[in-house]
Amino acid sequence: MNVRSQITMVFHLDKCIGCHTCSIACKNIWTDRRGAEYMWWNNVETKPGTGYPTKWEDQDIYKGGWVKDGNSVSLRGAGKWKGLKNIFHNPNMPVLEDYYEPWTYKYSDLFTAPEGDDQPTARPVSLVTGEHIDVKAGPNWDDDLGGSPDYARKDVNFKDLSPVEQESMFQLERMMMFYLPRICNHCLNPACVGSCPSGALYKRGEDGIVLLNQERCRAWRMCVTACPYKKSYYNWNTGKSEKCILCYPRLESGQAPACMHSCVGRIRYLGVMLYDADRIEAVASCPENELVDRQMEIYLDPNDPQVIAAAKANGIADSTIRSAQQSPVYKFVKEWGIALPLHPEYRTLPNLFYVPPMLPAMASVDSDGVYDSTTKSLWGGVETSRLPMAYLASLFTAGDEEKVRNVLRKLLAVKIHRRDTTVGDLTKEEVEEALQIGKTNPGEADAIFRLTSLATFNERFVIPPAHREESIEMIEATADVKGETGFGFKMKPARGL
Amino acid sequence: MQHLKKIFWLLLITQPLVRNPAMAQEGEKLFKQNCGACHLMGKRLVGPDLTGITDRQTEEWIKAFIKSSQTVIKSGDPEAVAIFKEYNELLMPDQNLSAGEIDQVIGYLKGFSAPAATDAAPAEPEAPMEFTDADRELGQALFVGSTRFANKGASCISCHNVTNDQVMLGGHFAKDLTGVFGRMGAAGVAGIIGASPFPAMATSYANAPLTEQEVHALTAFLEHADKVSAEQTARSLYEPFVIYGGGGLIALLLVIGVHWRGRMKQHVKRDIFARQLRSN
Repeated sequence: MNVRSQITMVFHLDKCIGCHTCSIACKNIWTDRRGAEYMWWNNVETKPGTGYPTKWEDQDIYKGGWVKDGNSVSLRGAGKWKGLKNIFHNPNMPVLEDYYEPWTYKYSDLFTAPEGDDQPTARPVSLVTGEHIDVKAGPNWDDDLGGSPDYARKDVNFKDLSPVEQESMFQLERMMMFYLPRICNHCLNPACVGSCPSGALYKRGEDGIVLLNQERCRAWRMCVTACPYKKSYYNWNTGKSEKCILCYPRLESGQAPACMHSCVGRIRYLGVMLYDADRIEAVASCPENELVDRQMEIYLDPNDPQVIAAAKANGIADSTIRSAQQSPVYKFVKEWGIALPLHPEYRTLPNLFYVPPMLPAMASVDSDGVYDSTTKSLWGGVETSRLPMAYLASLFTAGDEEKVRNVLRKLLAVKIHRRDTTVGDLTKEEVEEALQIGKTNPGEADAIFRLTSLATFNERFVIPPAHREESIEMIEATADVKGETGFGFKMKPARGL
Repeated sequence: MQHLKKIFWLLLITQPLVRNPAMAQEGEKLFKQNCGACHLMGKRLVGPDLTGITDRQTEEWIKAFIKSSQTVIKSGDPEAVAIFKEYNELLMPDQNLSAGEIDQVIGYLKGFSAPAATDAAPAEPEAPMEFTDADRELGQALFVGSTRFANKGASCISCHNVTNDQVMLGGHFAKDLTGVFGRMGAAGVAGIIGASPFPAMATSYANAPLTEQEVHALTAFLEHADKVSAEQTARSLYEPFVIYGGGGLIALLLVIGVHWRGRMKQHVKRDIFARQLRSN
């Protein structure tokens, strides 16, 4: 057992209101720079929709992620030979049009235009070329099902749905949507790290954050192809690729990442999980239908004395183990089993889990021919959900509908249990049946309810102390840099200090 | 300072009058360095015999011709054109000599006025150079570069071509040397190889002079090359390039087209953009 610690996350999709505050917080801090305008380290997609970059989930186009290769895995579009073949021209990368051409408006025209018959307008100007452009696409033009024929209907996850099922998703009273906020998954088996010919990408040992060394990056852009989530972006201005850094400077000082801190719906949870690094290859290369379960097994119980001993032997700090024991993510993912990884079939073992959304039930026509869009109970059953299970299964379980259904049943049981507790208008049988179907109990339901609805900041974000005082000891004599941590020069200026 | 000025003026005034032996010596040295490869007094070599030239031509004409023979020829001077024609349109390279140095050379030439030349016994036919097979082989090796020059000079084939089945295609930077022996004769060829009047070649071998043996061997090879030139197959430099280059390009494009046939050829939003209205 090779125990390591990993920062993991849960996004509760039922709580997401699609306000994009997370995206803006991230952009303001990290990507509001020349060459980085089109980067959305955090973005919010409307589902059904094509996402950002357009159709990123279609690996036939972008060749991202891993494929099973015997008892191991190999990169679909990068790696030693495939990478070498394409090293000077990589044809599987998203191009500017697959993202969008970033723009601003020429506001100065509003003030400097000569007097005329028409009001002056601020025309859009490309942030790449500086020329006037016709804005053709934006990073979230599929928002709220906008442009449905173009975006929603071309959702890659429809591949498992029949044309009739697809059509029904766009009928009045049957239409539905939900939001899918995405950041880098800081995967256990990151394809970007595996693909980099320069060795610029690495997974931080202490907390598993995947980072891209700007000094070693040589702009081969293999990571752009390899990341199946398309969360590595190429900065055309600096000639280096960049990606989400999970706000590690904030984490190291005990703050939540900006996207999570600013989240209006409080949908985001962050905590440490311990995992067994020896099992990564076996898990990543297991048959597709076992991927989710096997990934859940790789995360270890932080209360197990054996795990604690192994963790300590591996140099994991006591404070980190304590954080892992209080991790909200561990509860969602392991204890309750209601959070699922996004597209596990890419075999990167992502560390960002989603609680799938419960959506309105389908309308029905009863025996008297009356059209009825209400349901008997407050919430419709999982079976009458407007959202085809196959669709959610394509997103979160590599096609296993039963797994999604189990999660939704449990979430429904929590709601019924809480209604019974707070309103008390349900019969005992009804409540017990729901709990039984949901495979849960009142205690667990209350705990899920509490962490979902009432959790405080410190319950949602259990950030392990970074122990920077220890990491600096490994590099230099601490007395030399006493009082200047965070203010020193990484590369000394040419004329000296 | 005053003193120096006086000396300067004195020199300037008296300069044309002075023909002291030291200057004539200087002129002889310059002549041998710069002109000797092609010109010999009292004997026709690559270029004409210059005996009595100062009597036949004006000093201005000679000066202009030394400076830039082509300028004089192009100006249509009938005598210059006649000489140029007579000597197989062989270019006399422009000489990098100052006006003073040219004067010195002319001073040296004046020493060989016409009467002296006529007095001289008709040049005895020089003993023809003897070439052995070993010379020819060494010459070929030196020409191609399989044997290096003793002083590490560049091998001839870098710049020159000789049409000979034994030798691969040479460079096209300088003259084709297949028939050079026929045009210039043994003395001319050996002279040019030994002390080239051509600036590019002179610079190249300034620090890597050829030994006498090497000059002899190369002359032997060029004599042989000239003699057998009629039996050699002429090879074009350009045809194989066009054929191999063009064929290679097509083959490469085919490989690329087949191997990368599954690549992304267009961005994924093309049908989305196609549906959009445009303002222009």
